[in-house]
Amino acid sequence: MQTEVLQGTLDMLVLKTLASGPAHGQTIAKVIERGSGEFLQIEQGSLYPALYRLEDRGWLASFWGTTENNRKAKYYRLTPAGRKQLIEQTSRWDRMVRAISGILHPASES
Amino acid sequence: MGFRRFFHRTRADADHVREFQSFLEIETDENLARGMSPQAARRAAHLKFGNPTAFREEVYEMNSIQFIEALSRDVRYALRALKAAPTFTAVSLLTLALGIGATTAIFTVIDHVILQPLPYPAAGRLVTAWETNPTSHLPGKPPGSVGFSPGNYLDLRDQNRSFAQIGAFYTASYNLEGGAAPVRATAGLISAALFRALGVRPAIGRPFTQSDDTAAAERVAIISHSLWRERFSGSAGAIGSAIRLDGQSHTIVGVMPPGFRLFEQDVDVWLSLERKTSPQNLHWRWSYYLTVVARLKDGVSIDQARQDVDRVVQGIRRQYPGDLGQGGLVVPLLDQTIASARKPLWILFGAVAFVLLIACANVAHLSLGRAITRRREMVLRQALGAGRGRLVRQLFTESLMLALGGAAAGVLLAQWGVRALLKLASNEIPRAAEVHLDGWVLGFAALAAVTSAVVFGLLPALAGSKADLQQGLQENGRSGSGGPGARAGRRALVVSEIALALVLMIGAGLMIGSFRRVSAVDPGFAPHGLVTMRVSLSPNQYGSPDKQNDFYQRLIARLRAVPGLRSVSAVDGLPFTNGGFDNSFSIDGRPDPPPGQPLRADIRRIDPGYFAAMGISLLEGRTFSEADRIDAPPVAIISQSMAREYWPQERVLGKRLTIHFGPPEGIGAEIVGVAADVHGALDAAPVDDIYLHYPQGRYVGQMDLVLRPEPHSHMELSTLSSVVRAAVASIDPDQPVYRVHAMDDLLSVSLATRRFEMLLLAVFAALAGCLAAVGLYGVLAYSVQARTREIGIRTALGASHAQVSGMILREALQLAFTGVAGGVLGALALTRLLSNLLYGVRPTDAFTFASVALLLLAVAISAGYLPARKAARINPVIALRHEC
Repeated sequence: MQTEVLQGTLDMLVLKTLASGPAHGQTIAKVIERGSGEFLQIEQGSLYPALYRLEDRGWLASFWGTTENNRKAKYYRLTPAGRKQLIEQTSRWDRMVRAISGILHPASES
Repeated sequence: MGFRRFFHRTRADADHVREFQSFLEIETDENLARGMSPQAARRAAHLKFGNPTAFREEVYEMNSIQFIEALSRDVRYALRALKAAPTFTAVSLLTLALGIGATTAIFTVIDHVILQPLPYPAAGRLVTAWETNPTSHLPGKPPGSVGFSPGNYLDLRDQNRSFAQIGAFYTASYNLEGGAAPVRATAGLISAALFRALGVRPAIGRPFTQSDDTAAAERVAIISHSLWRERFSGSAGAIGSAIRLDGQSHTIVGVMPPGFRLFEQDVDVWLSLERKTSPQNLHWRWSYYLTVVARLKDGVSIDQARQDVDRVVQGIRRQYPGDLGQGGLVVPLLDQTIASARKPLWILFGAVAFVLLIACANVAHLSLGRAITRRREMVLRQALGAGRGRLVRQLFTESLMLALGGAAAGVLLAQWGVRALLKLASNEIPRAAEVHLDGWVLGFAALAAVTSAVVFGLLPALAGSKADLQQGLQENGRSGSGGPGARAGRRALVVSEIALALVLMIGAGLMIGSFRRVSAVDPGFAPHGLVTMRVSLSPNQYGSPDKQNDFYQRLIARLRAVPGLRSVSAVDGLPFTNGGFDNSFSIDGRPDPPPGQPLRADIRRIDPGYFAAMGISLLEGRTFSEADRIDAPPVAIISQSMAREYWPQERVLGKRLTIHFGPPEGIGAEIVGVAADVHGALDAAPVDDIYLHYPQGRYVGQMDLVLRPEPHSHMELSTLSSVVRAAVASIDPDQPVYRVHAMDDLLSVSLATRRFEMLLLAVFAALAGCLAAVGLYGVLAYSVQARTREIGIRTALGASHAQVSGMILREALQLAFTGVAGGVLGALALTRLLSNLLYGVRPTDAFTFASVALLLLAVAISAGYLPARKAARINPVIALRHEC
């Protein structure tokens, strides 16, 4: 079953993808889809707005470059602020997962 | 932020189109590589991408309205949240509306009176010039200064290096003839250069020119807009027609614009000072009655101008050693115009700012309390992914909505308040006609709102959003006390509210104490029931003392024959109307005082019945009699304090004075009586008075009649004035009767400024006290609620109702004491500012401090009463189950 990315987590996933180096939109979508074992489906309609939003906040920077097939494409890379944000979001996510599973599975915690 | 994208969205859009294009190309390439046909490869890529146009629109829209939409969502949510807590919202709105409304009202007045320039071009360059004289404190002049005498003014005009234009001004009054009844008109006598210096012109006609200033010129006049409408029904034909002043015809050459005033004086007609003053008087050096107005040359500072005027005055002093002026003084025209009103207005503004601060503190701990009860909501929203910044923004939006709502209501209140203020005190506030609500003031209200939103909204929002996720969720519905930090914060807020309120209340207490003392001052005469009105004789028809005396004698005799009048008398200048004129004298047989420091006293020329009519007691000797005629040896009566000052050990009666007016050698008079002191104003020490019988006082151009009707005659003011008008008209129908007043009203008017300041400060203090009490009540009520379990346990363990409510009242008193201590310290530091406004009370008056502090403690106890009663009634069974 394929599913849409949970609201609010797409940003985190995009940041994580770009942590290993600059990429253009199509690659980003592909990496996330493959990384989730095709469980997550990236809508272009939410990917690009997310990219612009993250760039707006100064977490991403973009530049026009050339692909290995000599196509022009817009590349995104992580800024230092973006890197910090990624760490923060990741740890928050971890905390939240713990908190919610604590509620969902109270027995397992005691 | 969406702002940047909002403004660059067109360029960004083009960029996006290229980016989407590149996506399609890359995707198509990959499909081709997988072996699709070119057509199928492109189709699949398009399918994967979706509709690029719809998508572009979406991105474009996102960029343009994202922040607007977020804002409107915040606002909608804030409104919903506020609606869900109606009590909180109503109390906050009311508190803020009161705070912002009062502040805005006072700011409106300050803005137009103090901050806005006078309505002349480049008004900041306009100044007034004075001669300094440390012993002079005359109304309408800067303390320690006198005006210029005509001769000295001419020297300043010709010798100064600082002024682009310089002119002189004084007011006089004339009988204005030609109307249905004779009226007294106020004339402004000005040099032609004065209007040029001010930069004003008549609305119709021409200003005065240099040629109008010469003695041979035709007599010309510029009339006020209101006289123009009244006498000429606003017709342009007025220019060139004539008006008669004191029997002399003047040609009207101009009409001033409506509302034109100088030094807040209503002037009916403007005349040329140089033309109206005889050449001999124009060079006279010893009467200091001119107000000099000048425009500074470019680049000349006030201080340079002062040094320049000082130089000229020192020159005059060398030439005429007896000159009163000891130096030069330059005061900006605005400062001189609003003179004594500036400081009280700033004090009122300070007071009202305190009220606003208290209001903010109140709303702050209301918000803080609310933030604590909303912790769970905040934690939940955080868990669902809202960032802390987002939550703070949300809470801040709520405070801003409240503040703006409060400001809107406040502006309405301010509008009403300004109207009430002007009604109450338009004579006490200079430039009152210019005061109105305008854009500036609305800006001020908005600023006050935003500032208070930051003060009362942001801090609680920051505190409230600091909720820890796990801890917050584990709190499990227990309405925790909000932690020791928040509690201490709320207590600090309420303590500072009490302190601020106490400072205001002590200030108001001092003002009330002063007012009580001033009202209780015995003016030295019996004002109740007295009626006064003024008669002025045209100098053309009554050019000699004989003619004047004859008129007054006949008038007084006629009035004495009117039934229902117990006593009738007259004086040339009544106390409480700036009457009596300051004059120098010397004591026969004593050495003359050094030049420039003559002995001075107010000279009052009276009818013999004056003391009896006024109720002034004669302490020694005799009053005047009709036998003290113009050709009899002059006699004088002096006031008690003057007698004590100059003859402390000696018998006063029989001593001789020389009063320096009238004939060149002055009037030499023997003292035949001593009268009780009379105050010129209730809050001023009595001045030395020398009374003369008016026929012996030479030239008396006007008289204030003093009438005391029989107590049971019930004669109205209007009846009396028509009786007097008829009596005057039966002697000479051309002479006006004006300034009709009940003496009680004159006394009350003399206290109007004081009453106004006291009333306003008292209202603000009461407001502050109430707000602080509400704040204290809020904190205690909250504390009782938060301690329900604890109180329940105490009650279960045997604490009595009295012990429980005592515990709460102790908390109330503890907070109140801390606040009172802070307030007393604050008041000790601040009431000094009031010292000029106080009368007979020191700024640190212990009685006022103590009684106001006790009052506030009593208020604190009553604020604590309801929470204490509630605490005592807590049922331990229910309480222990509470929130379990």
